[in-house]
Amino acid sequence: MSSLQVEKPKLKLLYLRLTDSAPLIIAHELGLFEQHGLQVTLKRETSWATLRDKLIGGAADAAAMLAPMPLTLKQTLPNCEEELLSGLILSCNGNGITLSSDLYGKLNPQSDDADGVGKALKQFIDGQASDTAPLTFASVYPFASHTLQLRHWLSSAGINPDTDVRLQVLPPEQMVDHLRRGDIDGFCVGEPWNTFAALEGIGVIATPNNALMPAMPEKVLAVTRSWHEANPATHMALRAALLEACGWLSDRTNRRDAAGILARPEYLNLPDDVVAASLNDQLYRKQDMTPEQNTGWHLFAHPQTDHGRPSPQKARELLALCNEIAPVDTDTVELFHPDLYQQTLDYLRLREMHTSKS
Amino acid sequence: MTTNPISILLVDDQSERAAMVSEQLSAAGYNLLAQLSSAEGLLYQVEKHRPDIVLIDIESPDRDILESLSVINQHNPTPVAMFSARGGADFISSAVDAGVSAYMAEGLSAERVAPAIEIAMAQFRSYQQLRQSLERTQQQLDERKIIERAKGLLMARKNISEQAAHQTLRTLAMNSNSTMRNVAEQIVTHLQTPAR
Repeated sequence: MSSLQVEKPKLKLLYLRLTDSAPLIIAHELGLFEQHGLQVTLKRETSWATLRDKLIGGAADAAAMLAPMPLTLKQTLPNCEEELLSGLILSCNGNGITLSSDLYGKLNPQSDDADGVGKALKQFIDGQASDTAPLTFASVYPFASHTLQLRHWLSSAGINPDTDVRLQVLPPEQMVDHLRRGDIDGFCVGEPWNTFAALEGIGVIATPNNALMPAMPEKVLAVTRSWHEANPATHMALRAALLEACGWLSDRTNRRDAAGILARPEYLNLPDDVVAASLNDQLYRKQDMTPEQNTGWHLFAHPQTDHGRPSPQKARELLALCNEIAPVDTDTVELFHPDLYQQTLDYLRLREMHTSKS
Repeated sequence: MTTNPISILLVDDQSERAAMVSEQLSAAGYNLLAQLSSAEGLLYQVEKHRPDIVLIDIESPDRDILESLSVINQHNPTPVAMFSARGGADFISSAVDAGVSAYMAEGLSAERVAPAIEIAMAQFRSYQQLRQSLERTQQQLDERKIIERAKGLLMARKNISEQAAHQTLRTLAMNSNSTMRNVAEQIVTHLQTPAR
């Protein structure tokens, strides 16, 4: 079957140095973009704001973006007339909360899971003298699943995220350095940075976030509305290639290979083992510990599951959580397009039928 | 400009470029509060100076820190200027192109801050051009060096004149549809290995 009549075959996609950028990298390495008539260049960025601005400014065609970002664009860029939309959730989960080894050493939790560490942290904070500086925790962006999950974990332990601790933002790849230097006492970030901190002995993982909120949309394929309107077939080809890559990644037997590719200097530029852990559902809470099984640390989109389908309902749930940080408009839920997702499924099914016939 | 000039905080780790931008902004009557080479202490500086505009390299990973300020506190500068001034898309693509991003304080109009951002954009752009022309010069120098070296090796190994060596390189380049530089590089690699 001939590929789609794409309006724009040459594309530039943006991603950050994170394990869940995998669908873009894998689609590129497996030649899936080419199979759908696309020639794609990948560009690694260092901050979410830069990635967003390059997308809106037309310096790139699409990006793997934090799921709440398109929905909260009006809060971060109040006067921006452009909109960001998504027809594909690339992955769910993929994050973790890590405390500095120093802080963890003072806690003595009864159990080493989210609940136990949370309670111990609450006790520690309650026991601090009133004039000590509050503990500082970092997440990667104000409106990001990380912030929502961190706040949720703190609140569940009875810690007020606004008054009992200080929350700040740091770019993902700077987290571990800041933890090492003691600038922050803990962070919530995407993999592989939790595992990296743990294996280096800099931090102890308090919890992987799938233990807190299962199947929370994490990264979406984002494009601007004007780009989508000018390039509908290109957009479909792009979603198709990426959904295939997500499907490939969903097969656990491919995860080893995926880790090897992601670890390369041009992508995450980290040791294989660091990248492999979360992809293989292996949780190393701290250095020199045998890993625990943590099933579903990364849930990639798959035609047979609902993880990849963006829907107004999922958008509404994310916005309800964002609203706890700062007031957000909720009239953006339609920017998550189940219709575009359905289109991709239909297209891939037709394509498959055609291939099996011929 | 009114009696109360717009105040600016500049964050740029390229000191040469930062100097260019500061100079032009000051010359245009803006009040340059501080010039930081990194976001180290950025929160403190913003709190201390309360700038009307923060100008920051678009590639800076520290931009997300600035974004969090505006969400947490409405009085902190928000990243709106470059997106609203002069009606959007064109302005932002030229800002992205020049590599500047800007944050402005609440209550200011985009029209008021746009000229300052345009000055910064112009300086970022001329710095870019400066860098590019330096790189080009360097490339030309490198090219000349490698060609001279290849010619020298050809002259020594084949016992031919400089002119003949030059001619050989040109012919090889033309025949292989390649550049003199590429051919010269191949010859250097090839002839450097000791003859058996």
